[in-house]
Amino acid sequence: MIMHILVNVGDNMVPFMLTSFLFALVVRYFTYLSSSRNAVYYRRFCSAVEKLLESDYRDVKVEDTELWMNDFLAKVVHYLPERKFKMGRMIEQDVPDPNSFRGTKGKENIFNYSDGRRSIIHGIKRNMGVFVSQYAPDYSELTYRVLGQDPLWRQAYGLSFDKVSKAFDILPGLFVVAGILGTFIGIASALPKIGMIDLSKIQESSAVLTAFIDSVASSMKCSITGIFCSMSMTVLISVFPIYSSRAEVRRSLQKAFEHIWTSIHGSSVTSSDLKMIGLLQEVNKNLTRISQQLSESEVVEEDMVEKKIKLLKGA
Amino acid sequence: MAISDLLKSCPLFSELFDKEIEQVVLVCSVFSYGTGTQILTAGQQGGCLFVVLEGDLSETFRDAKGIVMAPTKLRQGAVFGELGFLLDGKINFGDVVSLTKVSILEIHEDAVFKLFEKNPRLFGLLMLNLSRCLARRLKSNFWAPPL
Repeated sequence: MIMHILVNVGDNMVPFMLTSFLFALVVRYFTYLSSSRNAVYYRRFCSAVEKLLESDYRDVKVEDTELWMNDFLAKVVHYLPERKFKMGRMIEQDVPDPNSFRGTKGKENIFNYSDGRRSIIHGIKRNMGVFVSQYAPDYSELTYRVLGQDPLWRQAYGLSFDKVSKAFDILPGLFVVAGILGTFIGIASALPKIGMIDLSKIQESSAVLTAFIDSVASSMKCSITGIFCSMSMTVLISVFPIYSSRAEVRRSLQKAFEHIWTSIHGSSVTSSDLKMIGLLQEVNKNLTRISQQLSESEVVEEDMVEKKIKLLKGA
Repeated sequence: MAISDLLKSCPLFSELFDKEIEQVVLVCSVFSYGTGTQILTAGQQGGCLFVVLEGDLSETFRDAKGIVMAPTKLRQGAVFGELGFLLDGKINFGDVVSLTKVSILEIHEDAVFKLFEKNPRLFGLLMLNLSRCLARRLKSNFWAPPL
């Protein structure tokens, strides 16, 4: 029974692998596309932050951080590109609401408002306390928090980026394993055919031998297909990376947040840091004094030893 | 940012699951206005509930003698337009003006009352939360704290 199932699996392994490969290609393409869109969106944010901080907000003294941030972020929004959503949501957005008596000026769909180009602005406003605080935050943690609040960053077409990324990491290996499995099943199912060969009538057994060789050859195709799929997938993953581009976006965003915080609070050292510096300087002074005392006492000890040797020699 | 994250601070959506919040606001629209814009005018057509998503607003009512009462400041998450939404005449009672740049979520009565048939539990929770909002407002405007 099990052998029968395995033989069926082995027979269909090549079409199964090719179908999986094609499906993986399509998923990979859309994930990469979505990831690229995200990268463009966040890069635009970073460049807008740099541009505004170097021009309009260069010498602006920040008195009320929240007001400053709100004003700054309102300007940043204008530089951000629109973001695309699920088809259904886009359609809802385009159809005007006949029940609304407020007209269409300044109107947008709730999904566009929350997940659209203002998405990062909402994320930052939700973490406003970090920018108001005079203590420098952990920018990496802040970046993860802000990005984690963006549904389009977390997932593409309902698929989690992390899960898809992990699946693609193991997929090349799986193709090789599936190819080898198909080959072994093919060989295992072909071997009994050798038992049917009558060595006394070797001429008549040529048909059995041909069938055996055909089975082995077709099972070898499984391995070849597996290796081909694995190699193609590995090349695609290397040429069109998702993980590294996302990591790059994280780094750029981290720098942008650092720039914003420094623009608000300046690069001046906080009072607690000043205290810490003072304490460290005191510790340094004490350590220097102790090392000097130790070296002095060593000199005295050496003199004492020399005197003792002289005394002993004299005696 | 997910819609549910955006609206979690709003008392109208308390005790609702994220999916339920999305279900309510699926067909709603967001309006953005600059500072000093008249958003609601007393006597005009109502029929919508509003939730402040961003910015500050000022709401003023007139009492029975027509005297303007002290304005109430509406911050992020605040609900307004309840009287125009619930009362039969569907007429707004208060004047609402934006104090900063604002974004408000408009929930049309159809979006809520359709839930009565589709999802009675959700409809009931929304009505309960709306009643709580009204009760809180009544308490803060007309009742002194108990001695």
